[in-house]
Amino acid sequence: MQDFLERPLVLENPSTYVGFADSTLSEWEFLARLCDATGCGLLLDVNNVYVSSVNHDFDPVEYLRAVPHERVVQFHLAGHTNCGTHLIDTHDGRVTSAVWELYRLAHQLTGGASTLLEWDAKIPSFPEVHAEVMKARDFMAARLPAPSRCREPSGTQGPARLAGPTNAVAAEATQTPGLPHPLSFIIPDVA
Amino acid sequence: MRDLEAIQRWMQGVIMNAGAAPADDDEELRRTLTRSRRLTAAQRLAIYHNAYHARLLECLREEFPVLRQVLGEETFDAFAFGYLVAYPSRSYTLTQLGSRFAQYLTETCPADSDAGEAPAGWAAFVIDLAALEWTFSEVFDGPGVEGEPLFDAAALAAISPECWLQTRLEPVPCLRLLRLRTPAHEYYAAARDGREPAPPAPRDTFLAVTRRNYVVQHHALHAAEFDILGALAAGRTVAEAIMGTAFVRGYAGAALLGDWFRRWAANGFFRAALTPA
Repeated sequence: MQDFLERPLVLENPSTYVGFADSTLSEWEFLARLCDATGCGLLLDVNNVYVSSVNHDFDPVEYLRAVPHERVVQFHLAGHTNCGTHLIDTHDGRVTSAVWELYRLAHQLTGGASTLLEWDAKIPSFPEVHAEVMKARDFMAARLPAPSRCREPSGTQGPARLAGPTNAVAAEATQTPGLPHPLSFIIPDVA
Repeated sequence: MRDLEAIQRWMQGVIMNAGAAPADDDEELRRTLTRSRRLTAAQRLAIYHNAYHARLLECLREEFPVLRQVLGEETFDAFAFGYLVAYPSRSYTLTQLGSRFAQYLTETCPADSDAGEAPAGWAAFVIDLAALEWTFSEVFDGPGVEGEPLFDAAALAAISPECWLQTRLEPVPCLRLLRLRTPAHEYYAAARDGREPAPPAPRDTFLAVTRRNYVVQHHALHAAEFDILGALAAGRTVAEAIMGTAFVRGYAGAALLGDWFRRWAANGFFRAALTPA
């Protein structure tokens, strides 16, 4: 499909609720092999990792450590609903503290990537959604070196950050070149 | 290890089945799914089963907002669930989900007792409203003629009188003709305006629904106008359409015909005229 489209594809890990008796791989092994075999990028939904970890009784940290970090081109964050016996990926509230901590780790392991907050039910005012997504900056690893493939000619090393119309970002933008397009994090294996 | 396709087919079957999802003693379920620390395999499967049907129900609620308001949440949901059982979603697109809702309501409607009784009129109104809201959605989502030249007043005037009667008119793909038993469109407009009108009394109602510049429009029609438009849309010549209607209805208001053709052209009901060579 990538050959046909002449574009790299980026695959996202889902939230899931059933396990299959015939499964022979963990989800993180599956994703790693999938990326290897196809050259696809990975859209790492940190909330989905957490939701599935509760629903399938696995360790989300093990998951984050095992996925191919160099393939991650974007993070997703979202709120979920705790049903007591399981979690549902509802995108209708704030990101929980457990997910923020996983995001911190994922950011550190991967060297950072663009981040999207999914909030598409019970949507509050824009400032509230904006404030929630801007929290991501508090969990980003400080002073991470930019991935070498993406280094600008000036060689500036700055923390990866979210695009956002804040003064801080605007002020920094005058000193450092903007982040490259997320897809430039991928080494396309397709001709 | 079992075949992936067999597992997928089984999952699809049990999730889409509107009846109860399999229980934990179900042999196939035991072979296919695992439990978690806190949920049995059947409870886990039920999450998908419930979500699938809840989402379809949600789609129908959004597709028929005025009908839902008229019936109340509980009655609407009961009808909608019955519909999903009778006509499970079969299309790749959810825009088709409500396509047979009015038909389902007609099929399950109690037979009319004495004509003119309140329940019969009420049922007709409910069915009309379902048909109307579905038609609006269908026209909104379907193919249109935005940006294309249409058969307009100038094109109408350009057809020579000797060709006119043998001319056929090609309807725009978004034109729908609706025959209703109540003026449900008037109720619809009032309800969308935030008013709470009384349900309308039965009255034969004829509508053309179309879309221009991505806005769905409806036009009330005269009964004979409806018949002629229907005949033209079915590919009849102008002569056949008019004569057929005159024959069926003994229609004599020829003076109105010119007005109608001009109005249809102005409203963009037709794409082009096919005049005889």
